[in-house]
This record gives sequence, structure tokens and C-alpha cells, in this order.
Amino acid sequence: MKVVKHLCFWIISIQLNSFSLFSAEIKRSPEVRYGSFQEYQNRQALLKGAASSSSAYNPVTKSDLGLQRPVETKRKGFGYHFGFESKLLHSNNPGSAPDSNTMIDSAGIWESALSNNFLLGAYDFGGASFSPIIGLGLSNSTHFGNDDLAALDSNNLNISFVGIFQFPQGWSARTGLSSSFDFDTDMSQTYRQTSPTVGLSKGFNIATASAFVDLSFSYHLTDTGAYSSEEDEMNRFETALLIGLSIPINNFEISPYLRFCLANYSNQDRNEFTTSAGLDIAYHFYDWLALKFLLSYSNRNANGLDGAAADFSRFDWGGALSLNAQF
Amino acid sequence: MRLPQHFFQTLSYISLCVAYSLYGSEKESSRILSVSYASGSCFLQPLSRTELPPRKLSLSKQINEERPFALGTSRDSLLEIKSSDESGFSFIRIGNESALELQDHHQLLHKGAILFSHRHTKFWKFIILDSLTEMRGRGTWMMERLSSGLKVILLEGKLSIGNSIQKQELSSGELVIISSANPKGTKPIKVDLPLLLGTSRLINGFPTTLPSNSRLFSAAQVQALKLKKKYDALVGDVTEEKKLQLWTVPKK
Repeated sequence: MKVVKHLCFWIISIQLNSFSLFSAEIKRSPEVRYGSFQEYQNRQALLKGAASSSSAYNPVTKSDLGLQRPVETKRKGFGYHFGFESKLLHSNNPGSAPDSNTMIDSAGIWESALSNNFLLGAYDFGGASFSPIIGLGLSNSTHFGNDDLAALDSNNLNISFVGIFQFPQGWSARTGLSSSFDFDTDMSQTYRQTSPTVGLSKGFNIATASAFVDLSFSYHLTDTGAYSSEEDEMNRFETALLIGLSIPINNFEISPYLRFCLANYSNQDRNEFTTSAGLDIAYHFYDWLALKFLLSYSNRNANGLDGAAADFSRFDWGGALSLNAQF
Repeated sequence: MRLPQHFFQTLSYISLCVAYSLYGSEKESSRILSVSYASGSCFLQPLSRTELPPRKLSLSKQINEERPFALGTSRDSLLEIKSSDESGFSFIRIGNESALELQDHHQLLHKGAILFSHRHTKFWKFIILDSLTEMRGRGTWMMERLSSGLKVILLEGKLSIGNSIQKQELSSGELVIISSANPKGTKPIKVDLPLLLGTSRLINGFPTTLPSNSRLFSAAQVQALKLKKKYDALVGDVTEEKKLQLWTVPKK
């Protein structure tokens, strides 16, 4: 889910920003969306300055052609996005233990995640753009404040390939394949999941805020190793709806999200409905450095013979330091 | 039996007429011009009969005037002309305080800014002072009259600019300045397409989107994904000393 949320917010951030015209003429915001948070702020300052009647570059703004800002572009469009995030969280149910378990302990969680996304070019299909992306992520989770939960400490490796098509009016479609590997502290593999996915997104502009709705369908092929009687008992088909909003206020960026996920297990008599809601409040010191406050709540309801004891709820809160760079 | 000689002459004459009507696409009778949008004060001035006053243009009015004539707009006025011929539709958008002269075999932009949008390859000839610049291509492109020359920006598609001696190809997002001394234009400058599309009255000042709207989007989107660097400047006019004006963008 974290990869999907991160990818959706990243798709929105590399889409083009909408502007409202700086005059009293017909205002129709084109769907072009833009770059990073700082670039958005710089652009808003530029448009505000250009809109004032006493603007120093009034001759430029008088032109019906529009503002012409020189840029440099890469020939092929290959790019690299690096991300590092270190989170310190408190969870009331770090193991996502079932509600029926009366021994649920809270604990602190320290999560560090490194993400590398390689943009393999940008292609114009005359009405749609296509960008293939290879992703490589590494993360580590350490629990503290409760020795019994040290068994939950884990490492994760995620490899993904996604092809994103972007269309006018904020629509985008993606198809991809990802593999995720969980390891314990001894680096023994505890879980493996390979997931082909298709998704459809719609981005919106609401005043200065941006919003998106993402619908995805995935099939998870799993291998739980020695941790269950059947290796592939966690195989499941997931349908997920993710709704996100990003509201910039000065150097702050407020991002609430809501996710609904329906999972149908292939090798168990089990269906699950999971609701997740969260709020990220980020303060951007620079284009590449942000401090975040995080809140999230997840609730899962399971039914079926094998899902009877799978209901859980958990509430996490904490902070994170985030580094991002794009080349 | 031998056919009479005048039969062959008649047949030749008919063949010539048919060939001319098929291939003589410069004739006005094959092109239909109509006003698809007009706001403020927009007018047509016949040039072959200058004693006639300018005619006000209004929405849906068909332009039956033979070339040469000029299309003009006053302050805070916008005009869109839809042209249909054998090759398909094309749109000409004329910005405020602009004047475009359409002669039999060439065009002249006296002042202001215009936008062309056509899916099929078209051929345009623009006069700048005493020289001629030819533009051939398809797509959506804009042009503005400067104090000494023309500024051309290709938004999407392909455009070739120059004359029989020298020419250059533009790709989307490229801006060139054309002058009488340099009919193929300066070395292209890439401009920020999303910013340009977001602030252009020739794109956003009209109530309907251009048919090429989706191609404009994808061209701007691909440029944004390929972006390496932005300069803190805006392109302006060309001075009398033939220097390009650049206005500094204030940093936040």
C-alpha cells in the first residue's frame, strides 16, 4: 500500500500544475500540472508578479502568446528519483494482531526506507504520454519499547516495473509488476509476494489543492515459506480505491488520504475489507528536505471460515524526515 | 474513322479544367472560411477594394471575400477563424490588437499574435520587410510580430521554417526569431510549455478547446518529464540592436 500511495503522489507531483489566468478574461485552467512543491510556489509567485499592473515585465505579460521561460531538456528523458524516509512511529497494534487477542501491546516503530525510481524515458504518443519506471526499494523496521515484539523486526526489498500512460483531463493508467521480499533480522526470507497490477487514476485541481482518485486491481502470488502450512495460502485478488488530497499552505503540505481494499483469497475461505485513513502534514525546508507528522488508522474486517480471527484495527502516529532528489 | 481535330482540342481543354480543379488548391473556391468565435471588435478589410469600409465579423459568419483581405482585432478582442478544405479543418486564432493580411500567395502579420492549428500539412509564406519565409508543417504553432521580425513557437507537431536556400526543423516547445536577414530563424530556444500553455490567451482566452488539445497536453507533459533546468528569465522582444530581451524572474 505504501508503494501505491507513494507512486500516486509522485505521479501527481510530476504531472503539470494548473494555473488560473491572471486577468479577468475567461478562466479555464488547463489540466497541465507541474513539478515539485517548491517549483509550484515559485510559479505561483511568478504568476502573481506578472498579474500586477505595475509588473516590471509588463511588456511580456501583455503578449497573447503567454509567458515564455527558457528551459533545458534532456534528449531522451531518462531520469532518476531518489527518496529516503526515516519514520519514528507509535502503534497501538504494531503486529496487526486480531482484535480477539487480548494481549495486544503497543510499541514504537522505527522505519527507514530507501527508494530508487528510474524513469526510462518519456514518450509522446500524440495525445498521451508514456513513461516506464523501474523501482527499487529497501526498508527496515525495528520495534522498540516492547521486547516481545522484537520478532516483528524485518527488512523488505521491493522491485517494481510500472508503465504509466497520462492523458488529458488528469487521467492516467498504469500497469506494472512488482515483487516484494520480507526478511527477518537474520536475513532469512519470511515472505515473498509478486503482484501484477493495473490501475486507473484521475487527478483534480481544487483551487490550489490537488486531489486524485486511484482504482487498482492486483493479484498477489505469495510464498509464506515455513510460516504456514501452505506456501501460497496468502494468494489473493485485491481491488483497492485510494483517494488522496494535497493542500499546499505556504511551506506546509497537508495530505489526507483514504483507502478501501477488498481482498479475496484464492486458497482460503476468507474475504477481507480493509479501510485505511491517514494524514500527512509535511513542512518543506527545501525542495529536497521535509519534516512530516503522520497519522494513520487501519481497520480490517474479515469473513469466511479462515477469516474469523483476522479482524484488526491499529492506530499509528509519529514523525518522519524525508529526503528527495530528482536527476 | 478518324475523329475530328476539334474533338481532341475539346478533350484537352476539359482535361486541363479537371486537373486544375483537382490540384489548384490555392483557389479560394475550395476553401471555406467561417468565424467560429469573435469577441469585442473584429473586422475584415478587403484590400483589392480599399474604398470599402471594414466589415464587422460576428460568430458563425461565413467569409466569402476573395483574397487579398485583412483580418483585424481591436483592443481586448479575440477572433477565431475555421477553415475547411480538401485536406481537412484548420483554425486560425487572432489575438487582441492584431492584424493579419491574407494575400493570394503569401501572408503578412502586421501586428499582434496569431495561432495556427491544423492536423494536415500546410504551407504558409510570410513576408518580413523585403524577404519571404516559408513555413511547412502540421500541428499547433503561434506567431507574434516583433519590432524587427517574427517570433514563432511550435507547440506540437512539426514545422519547417526557411526558404529554398536554408531551412530548419522545429520540434515542440521551440521558439525562433525570424528576421529579414535570417529567414530560417535563430537557433531554437526551448520554452516552458506548461507555463506557456497555462498563460496563453490564444489557448485559454477562447471558450472552446482546440482539436489538438490532447496533443498539446502530451507535448507539454513529455517536456515536463524531460526537464533538466529552468532559467529565471522570460523571453521578450528584440531590440533595434537585434538583441533578444530577457526579463529576470524574481525568486521566491
